[in-house]
Amino acid sequence: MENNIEKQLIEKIKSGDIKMKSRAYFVGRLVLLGLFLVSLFLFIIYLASFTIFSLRTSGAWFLPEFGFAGLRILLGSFPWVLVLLSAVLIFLLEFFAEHFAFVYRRPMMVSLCGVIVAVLIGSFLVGATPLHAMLFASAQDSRLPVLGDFYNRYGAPPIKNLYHGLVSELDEDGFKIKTPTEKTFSVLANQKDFPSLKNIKEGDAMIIMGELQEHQIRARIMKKIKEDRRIFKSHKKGSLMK
Amino acid sequence: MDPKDSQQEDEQIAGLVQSGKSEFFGILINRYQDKITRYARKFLSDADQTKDIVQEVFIKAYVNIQSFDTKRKFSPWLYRIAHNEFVNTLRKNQNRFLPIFNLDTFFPHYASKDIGISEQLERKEMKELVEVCVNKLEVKYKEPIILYYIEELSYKEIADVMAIPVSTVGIRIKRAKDMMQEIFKQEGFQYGK
Repeated sequence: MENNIEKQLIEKIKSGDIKMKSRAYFVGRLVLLGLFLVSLFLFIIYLASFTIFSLRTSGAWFLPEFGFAGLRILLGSFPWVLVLLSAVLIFLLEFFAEHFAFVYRRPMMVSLCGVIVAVLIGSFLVGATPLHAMLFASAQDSRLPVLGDFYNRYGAPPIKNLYHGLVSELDEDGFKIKTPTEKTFSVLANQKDFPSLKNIKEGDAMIIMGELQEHQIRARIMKKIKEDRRIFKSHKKGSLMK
Repeated sequence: MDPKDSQQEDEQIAGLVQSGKSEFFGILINRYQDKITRYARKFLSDADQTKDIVQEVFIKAYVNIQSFDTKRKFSPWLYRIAHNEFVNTLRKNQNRFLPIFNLDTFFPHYASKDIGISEQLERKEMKELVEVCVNKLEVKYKEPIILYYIEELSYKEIADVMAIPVSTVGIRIKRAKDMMQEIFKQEGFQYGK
């Protein structure tokens, strides 16, 4: 009875009822899967680097410098949607990559950590390029189709009582700053409360915590920061317009 | 040459089938039919269904033979097809969710490695014990221990069949042995670990 299997199958093969799939089919499928995985990986890097860019333009990146109060605001204002989306995509990448022996033969934790490290390195490398700053500037000028809304919405999300920008002018009440979204605010600060005010000069990047009242920020805490100036449109124009 | 007289390795025969000599596929069926049937019987109780599944395994093997890399071993590739068929059938039969993900595939394990030659004797004894009480184990422990002791695949080959980490194969076999020891104790038998 068991030999029937061999006989039946060989007969079906000879009669053409059972046909083998071509090598090209499997090669094509493998190439498509590879392309999908590479594209997905690059998209995750793009998303992660955008998240970092968004943290920088909103000023949230520098909040840990304000201690626990800053950390609390950071947690509340973190772009969790982007982080969650990146995490889901990383799991999706892992799921499809499990097709390959070099992935499934290792514990998932190892391959996941590998992907996360690669994404972080990749996103910092992309973050070092002017890609997002250029796209963000184009979006602000309404010259970016498709992604324009995304950049305008998530590019520099406002955080309550947190302001971040380049010093455009010094005056007797403090100074003026220009934010990455090209808004200008007067910062009220005096030498008594902020002895370091004398060291601030035009073009310095500042982060300020304080309440906004009619375009004037009453500074509670402020700090000079080292910022990538490419995120400031005014810097790219070569002048800090008032 | 009559295909039935072939002394060639499985991989060479698979290569011949790939090149269009389909009649050689009969040799592979001949060599693996009993093994795949034995493997299937450990998971499926219905004899008719077992026969259908075994037939389906060989049909899928033939249809997908061009995806087989002749530089690798043929048996894990065929057992992988069988594994997928059994998993799908169990899902249908039991009408329940068989997890795609198991936590023991997530973390690295350092507990067990493939056994050396000195432990081959233990392997023979274990084979007999596995035959007796393997049906009392969960599927996720049952399968690696069958593939290891009955079908005599290596840890790496089992990892390829089940698409799980090699270290997970080791830990599942170790746990399966521990469970079998418990089963034997409960039933009044003893065996050396």
